[in-house]
Amino acid sequence: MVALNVTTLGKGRWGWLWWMFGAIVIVASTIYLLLFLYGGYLHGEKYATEDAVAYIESQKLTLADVRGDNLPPPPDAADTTLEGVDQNLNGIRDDVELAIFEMYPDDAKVRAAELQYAKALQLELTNWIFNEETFVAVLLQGSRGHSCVYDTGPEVNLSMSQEEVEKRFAVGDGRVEEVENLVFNTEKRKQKRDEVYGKYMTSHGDSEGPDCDIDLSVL
Amino acid sequence: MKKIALTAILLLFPFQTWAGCSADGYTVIYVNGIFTSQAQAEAEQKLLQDKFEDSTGRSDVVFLSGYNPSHLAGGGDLLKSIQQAYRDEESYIDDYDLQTILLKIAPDVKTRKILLFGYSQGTFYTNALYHYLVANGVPKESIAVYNVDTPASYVAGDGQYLTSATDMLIYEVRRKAAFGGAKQPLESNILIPPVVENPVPPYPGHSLKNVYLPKATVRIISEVNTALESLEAGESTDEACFTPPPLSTDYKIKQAGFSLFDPAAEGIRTGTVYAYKGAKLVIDTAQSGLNAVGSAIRSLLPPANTATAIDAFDVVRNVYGSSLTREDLEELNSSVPSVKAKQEQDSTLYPYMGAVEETAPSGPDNENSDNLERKNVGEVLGEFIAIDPPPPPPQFQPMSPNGALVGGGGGGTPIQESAPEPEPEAVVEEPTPEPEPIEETPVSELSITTPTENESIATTTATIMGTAPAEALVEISSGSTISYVTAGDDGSWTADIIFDEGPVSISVSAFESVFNATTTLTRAFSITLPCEIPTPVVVQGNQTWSAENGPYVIDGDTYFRQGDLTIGPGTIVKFMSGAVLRVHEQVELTISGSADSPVVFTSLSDDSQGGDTNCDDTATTPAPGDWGYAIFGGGGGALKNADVSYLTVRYGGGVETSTSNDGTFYPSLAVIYDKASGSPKSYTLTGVKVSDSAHIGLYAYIADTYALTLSGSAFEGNAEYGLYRGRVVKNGNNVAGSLTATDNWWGDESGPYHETLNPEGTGDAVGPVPLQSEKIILSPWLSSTPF
Repeated sequence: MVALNVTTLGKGRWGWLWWMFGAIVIVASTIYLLLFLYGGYLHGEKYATEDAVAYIESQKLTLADVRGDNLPPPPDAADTTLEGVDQNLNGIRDDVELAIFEMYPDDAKVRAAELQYAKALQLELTNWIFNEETFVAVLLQGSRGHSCVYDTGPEVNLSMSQEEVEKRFAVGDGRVEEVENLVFNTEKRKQKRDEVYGKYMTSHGDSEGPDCDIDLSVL
Repeated sequence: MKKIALTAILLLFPFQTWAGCSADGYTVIYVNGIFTSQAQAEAEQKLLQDKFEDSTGRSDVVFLSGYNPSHLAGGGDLLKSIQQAYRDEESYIDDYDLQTILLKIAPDVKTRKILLFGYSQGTFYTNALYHYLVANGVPKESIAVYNVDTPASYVAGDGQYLTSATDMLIYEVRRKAAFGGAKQPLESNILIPPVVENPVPPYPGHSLKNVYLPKATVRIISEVNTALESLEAGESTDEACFTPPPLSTDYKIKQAGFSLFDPAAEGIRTGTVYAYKGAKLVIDTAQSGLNAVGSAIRSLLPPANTATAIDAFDVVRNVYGSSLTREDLEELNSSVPSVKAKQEQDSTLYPYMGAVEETAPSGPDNENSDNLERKNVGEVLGEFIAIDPPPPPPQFQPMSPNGALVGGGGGGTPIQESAPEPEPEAVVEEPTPEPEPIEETPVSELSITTPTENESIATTTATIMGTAPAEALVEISSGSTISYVTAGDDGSWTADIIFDEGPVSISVSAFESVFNATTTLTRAFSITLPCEIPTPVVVQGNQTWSAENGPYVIDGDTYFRQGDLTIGPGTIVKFMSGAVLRVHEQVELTISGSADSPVVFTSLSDDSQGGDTNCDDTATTPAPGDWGYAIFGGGGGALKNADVSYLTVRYGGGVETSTSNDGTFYPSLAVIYDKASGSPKSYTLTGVKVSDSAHIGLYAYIADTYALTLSGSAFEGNAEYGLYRGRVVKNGNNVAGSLTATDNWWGDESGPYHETLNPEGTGDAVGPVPLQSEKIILSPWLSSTPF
């Protein structure tokens, strides 16, 4: 029986072989460990992304929002936070929500469309965006809101004159701009938007399903 | 192992692919231009989609964003786009951004029918995408390109495009591309008036969101819709619509590089960059280990193939209106700590540079960088931007042997396309010049050759001609009307512009660029249309005559038998020789002149009213009896109504008329109130002035119980009678109605002459002697004219 003499390991004629074996084991272990950690990171991010996208896509306007069942009080004017105040927790910043209600107290269609767009844009100011996938999810929500607002404009068809078409589309353009100005109303918020776009803007697909969360024809 | 596998999958296949391509539906892929913020690019795509869907009602079109990012704070795009302008379309199939777009959109393209919609510099990509897609699975008949505001020289697949003549950016590209020898952009094919209220500096007319989409909506959407309809799908397949490019290691390295370098250029993150002085950027691998970035940056700088590449860089920076201002450059200078420039003698890649002197290292950070010159990103970009275009070599020939010369600068010296040979022995150190503001340089070649000063033009469409710098955009303004025309290669320009008749003053400027305008020339001329006698009135239905549309001309015997005749204040009605106007029977007559603007009935020769209507200048003058008469009522009936005020009648009485009791007579104006069943029993004429009649001024035939009141009127210069009352005898009985003509002017303060009522009067006569049953009241009369 031959006992392993640890005191002579790596020594002698075949000692270099032990050293090489040891080095390979160490390198392989290190690589495995790094890949393991990286894979874990990716794995974690994958699920975090899925959760975030699911949340973003779940952000829909409700009839209660349109009716103003739970309108918040005017927010503190001194609030300078990025996300602002959303006391009634409906995803629409309170100052924006109140401004839209004030502008369109008797027009539920426009109110609904603008609230939906405002809600989507507000997502750009939150931490739900942390990679391209979550950003695109927010973009598509915004795209739906944008289209919904546009749908509140006068009917347009290509048999109309350019002047008439321009005049009619200007209504939708104005409402879109109205909401964007309300949501991105401070330099800080504008910078945040630019920053998010700068980091994550990418080619992307189209949203699916109807533009408006609430069928405007029922309002 | 699962984690390892997942890692490997994510690393190797981060882009999901979807198998299946439907023959139903359509996909529009929008590619933005550069120097467009990410949010702006997204907004433009949304607007395009919403306007398309709302105006067509279509919901079978999916819109994808093929995002075309900016690199190096836009600076990299300048280099890239000029290269795109200089090179053939297939050259960019390996472009990093093109690959990114293809990889990103691949999972979302699920229809066979595809339309690529490009804007500005993005149109280079739509062209390149077309070539790639056709070569990788998309049938030609199922894909089309529509480019807006394109600096490219063609549209792939013979697609359509839209470029406005007022787009100053494209104009600049055209001019500078010619100067640099690149291919010319497509000619403009629409003229969109500049958006005055929301101009887009520094290139007015260049904006998809503010100019093209709102101002040419119908055309863009219609043409896109037509292009989509022209596509043929073929069969649906289970395979992907196209094969995306391989996700190569090189691509990943570039991706990693950009992820580091782009933020650095934006000032968000600092980094170390080395710049080869020959316009080649690399990363100092020894110091930072970021050779991936170097690779990425090099990918933005494909080898120049023109002698004017540096000029071109400057050009493109100007052309695309870089958001990277000189202040930004200075800020970058301070925020990016160590960028080094290394000279590289590479006459193959940069023949125009020739050999470049190796600059001695300087500064504390370049101990390990022999032959390196410390610069930062801002300096590098600033160096490019500040370099002026090289002057044309004196040995340039008017045309190159292969004829591939292009002229620029309004007939200036043509620039030879081929590059000067490098001079390897030459050693040149280029200082870094201070950035200088873009100066406005007046161009002095503008002229207006037609019309000449004070020329009279006999048509409302005036042809304006002149010269300007070759291919300059010529702006012709007159008041609030602005027209644009592009000068030709020889500098000549012509514009046909419609003006109103009368004096015209125009201002003409020419733009080689928005920064390079000529001084403004002015020219005064007049539009004087040839005189034509207006077409005589033809009675047809109700008529309303107005001063604006007059003078009206009456020729022959003109009858109004029914309907309404309304004559507004200031209307001039001129009668040709012997002409008669009859307003009879069931006509409702309204003559509503005013003291300042009476309605005038006069001779065609009366130039004092409504000008030289008979087009004889002063050859004829009006005279009593030039025309016949105007008669209101009679002819078997009476007017339904008559509301006459401030009517002037001159030079009539040249044609006889008659009644059974009075025989023939010659009035200028006749008023017949008879048989007016259902009509008002009394009428009032106010402010009537009758003068210069050959015989009778006003003949009044008032029968039965009817009454006429005439007041505030004037009668003077009428040869026989100012007023003559017609005799009314029916069945042997005199049945005259009432005529009251008080408070009128008769040409003399002594009043009208009347044989019995005022035999001392020396004014216009009133006749005849009334019978006992005839009632006529003349007194009191006015002692001066009421007009």
